[in-house]
Amino acid sequence: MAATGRSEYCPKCRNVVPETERHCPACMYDLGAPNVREIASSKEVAALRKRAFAEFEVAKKRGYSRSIQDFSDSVKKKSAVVVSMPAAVARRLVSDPRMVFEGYEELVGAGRRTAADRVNDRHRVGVSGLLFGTYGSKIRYGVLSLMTRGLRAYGDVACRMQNVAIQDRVSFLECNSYGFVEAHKLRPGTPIPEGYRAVWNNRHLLAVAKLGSRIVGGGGEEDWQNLLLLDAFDRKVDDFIEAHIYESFTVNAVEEMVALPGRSRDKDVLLDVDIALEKFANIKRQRR
Amino acid sequence: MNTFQAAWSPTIGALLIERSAQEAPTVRFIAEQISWNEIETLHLLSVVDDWQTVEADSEVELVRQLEEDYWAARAADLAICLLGGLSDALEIRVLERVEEITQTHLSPDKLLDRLIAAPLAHPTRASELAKRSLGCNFSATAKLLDDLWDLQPLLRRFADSWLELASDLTMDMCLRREEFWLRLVREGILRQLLRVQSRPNFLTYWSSLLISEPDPSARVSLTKIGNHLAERLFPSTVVTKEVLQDDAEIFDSSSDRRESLNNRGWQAQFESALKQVNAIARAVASGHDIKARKFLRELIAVQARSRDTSYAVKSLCNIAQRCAEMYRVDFERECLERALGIDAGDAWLQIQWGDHLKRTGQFAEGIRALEAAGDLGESIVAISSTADIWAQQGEFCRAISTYQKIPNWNSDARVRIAIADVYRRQGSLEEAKREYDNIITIWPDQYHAFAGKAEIAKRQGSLSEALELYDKVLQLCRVRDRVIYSLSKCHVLKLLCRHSEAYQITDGIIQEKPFMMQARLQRAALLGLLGNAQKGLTDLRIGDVPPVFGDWLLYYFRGLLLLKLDRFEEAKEQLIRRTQSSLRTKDDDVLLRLGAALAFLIQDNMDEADRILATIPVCYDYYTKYLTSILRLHVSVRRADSVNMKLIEEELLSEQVKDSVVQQAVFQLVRGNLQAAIDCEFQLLFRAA
Repeated sequence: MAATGRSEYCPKCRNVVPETERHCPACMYDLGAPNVREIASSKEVAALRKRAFAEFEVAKKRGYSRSIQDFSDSVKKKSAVVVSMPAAVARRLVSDPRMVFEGYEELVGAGRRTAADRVNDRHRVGVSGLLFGTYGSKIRYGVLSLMTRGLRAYGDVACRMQNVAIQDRVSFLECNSYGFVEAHKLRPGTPIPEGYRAVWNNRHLLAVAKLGSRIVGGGGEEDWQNLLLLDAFDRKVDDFIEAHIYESFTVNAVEEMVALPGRSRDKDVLLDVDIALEKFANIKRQRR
Repeated sequence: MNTFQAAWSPTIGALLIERSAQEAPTVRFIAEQISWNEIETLHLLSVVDDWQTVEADSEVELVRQLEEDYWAARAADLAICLLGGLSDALEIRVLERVEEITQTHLSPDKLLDRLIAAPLAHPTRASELAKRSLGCNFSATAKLLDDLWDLQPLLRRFADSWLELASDLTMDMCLRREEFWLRLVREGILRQLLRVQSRPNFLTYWSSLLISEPDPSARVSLTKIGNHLAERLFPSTVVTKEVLQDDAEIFDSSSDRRESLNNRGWQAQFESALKQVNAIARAVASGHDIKARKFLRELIAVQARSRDTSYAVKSLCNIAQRCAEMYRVDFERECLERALGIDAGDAWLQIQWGDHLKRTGQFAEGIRALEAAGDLGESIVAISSTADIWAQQGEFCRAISTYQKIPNWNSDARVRIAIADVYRRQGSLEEAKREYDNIITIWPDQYHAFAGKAEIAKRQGSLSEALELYDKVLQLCRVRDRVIYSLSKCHVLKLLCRHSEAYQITDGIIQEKPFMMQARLQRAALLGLLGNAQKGLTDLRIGDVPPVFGDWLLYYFRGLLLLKLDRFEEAKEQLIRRTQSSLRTKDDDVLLRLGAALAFLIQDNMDEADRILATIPVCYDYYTKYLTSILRLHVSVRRADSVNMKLIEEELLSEQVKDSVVQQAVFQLVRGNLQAAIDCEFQLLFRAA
């Protein structure tokens, strides 16, 4: 969709809605997250199915049709989005100042978050701009994972998101955005090749299309997890299916929170991790 | 002039700098002093919602400003977590970190500014935390939380008045109401306004806001707002503390108020007791024992009147601890005996008593005291301290088996580290190293294990590795352990011949803890190395101390300094006669003998020097080994014993010694330049302990 400038009509009031907007500017009707709307197009889905079925065929010839089916089912039923984040961000996510201060929002208001346009500007001309156009700044990044494991290179804490909280606003890309833009030599105005992205319900097809050739017999969930998410603790080597969540999330969207192992942590990070996990455990208790 | 702009996230302390449209942005982490230059930082950037645009005259200036902003945001976030409630263990760790930050990175007022962004939902929580901080000796944090609690009644009225401001009053302001509130908070104006205590003072302070306001209509608007707020906050023109007191009365329920008044009394008592403890410590350190005893009697008399005698016991234990640091075990014992007279049923007092007995070589009595502590409910600490006594006596296997009596010892990091320490002390360095590595894999924040590894690296001559490890320890360690590990780092710096750097650190410690004997000993040794033996001796101009583990260092360094000043007889008195009664380990004993051997070498008494050197056992410490060989070489040179000379020289060559002073000593000895060799030997001995 990146900056194609196309528009569609609001099903409610029939006014024109830019494809990068979620709500109709006239009646505020919710058309759904723009990243999901784009990928849900029939051409995009057909291209993805074609790639995935080709992999199913190859696996059948290799005698691994049962394994690839199991892998596909596992991703479809069990996979979720995991977002890695620095310990301080996780700590912040679980500590709500509104619970500590009275009248906090009223006093501090929107001035608290003066999002820097500079960051967003940069995104617009950068990778996310190529993939998402003007709403690139609204995208939050994660990975598709079968377990609560995330990428260690991006933080100390992994948050597994609740499916219900994100499934209508998440889309998936076959690899990390930067690698994808490089591999397909995307430039402003270049169309994004079809069949490399998926909505929530087709994420298993994307996984098969990407990893089908690597499926062998006898693999279990642990092996598939390692295939789905290669966490080498090195941003250049890490390999994963990237999740794009439209707009931000709160702690209520988090299902599980764990510390990522193997990172060397200083005192501040350790403290942040412990606070985040302790507070999140309390939040989970309250949910029950 | 062009301003430098960037995007800033105080939560993670990251600064996103865009130098040009063609270049990828740089992400610079303020606290860690590292930079990323990866477009993949998208993942990081996108999850943080607190990006702000910031600007300054230059990048350097911006980083300087943001450093304080980062620490203020961090400390405020931690304080918010505390106020929201944490488990006991985590609460202490967070309070400690807030204390560290307020001591090293920003003024407590800056942090207070952040915490008065809105009134607290549960103000008594601040008071409870203040009390807890005081109990842990985090005095800066205690004061900060107490101030926060103190400001709550007026802050609540101020915030209510602010929210009720009529919109026509705020219409002409340049900033939105929320933005203006944030300005008041961030710039410390709100704190000052809450402290003024009278309407005229309030208006005077408020008028300072007008200066920075260029728009006349906005100035008029601000003046009106100021008058309105002053009227609401200080309804009478004769407004004094009573009004504020009334506010507090209205705000607090009567029971809260009673509690708060009790807290005030308790806090005043605590501060007064702390001052008295400091005065007693000063008197003991300067040898004014009569004065110290008088102060002590006064303090105990006041505290013993209270129904809760635990304060008197705590004060006595506190003074005893300070006395232990200055090697005044006699006064330490006096305090502990008094405390036992007040309440022998205090488990921690029994543990401290057991530790005292251990340090003074009364091992059996020490074990009995620890058994008593175990019966009083502190069994784990008691078993652990008992094991330490066995290790101190060289009974390493017994020490290990004692540690292994602790239930679930294998899953307790502290016990595992203690066992690894025993391996290290008995010379099983590889075993100790393996165990430290296992511990670090399971508990990566256990800095004592890194310190153990650093000690091994030091003993094996890998000094850069030891230094790196100690830097890591200091990064991870708790405040209370920092001094001791800083001194350990100084020893490594000394071995690396980075004497000035080590001197700066020890000097800093002495500024903070003037009576700490270990720091004074190290500073004296460093002064000896830096060519100022006389000043070093002044540092150690204190009376002899009663026998206690570690006291030999006092005589060792004093002896070396006297030797350096050619005061041979006095030096020998210190190095030989005085140390005969001191308590020390086998390793300590080796160094003392080497010091004594040098004294005899300088006096041309080769037989005595040779006799002493012959009694030195095989050492695991690379440095002591070299030192022994050098002094043996010295004797051989003086006796013109070419066979032995050759043997020792070859032995040293085969070791591929990297220490430049050792190489220099061999070089000078082989060439018969004995005075230069003695200078090197002095350096080696000063650096050894």
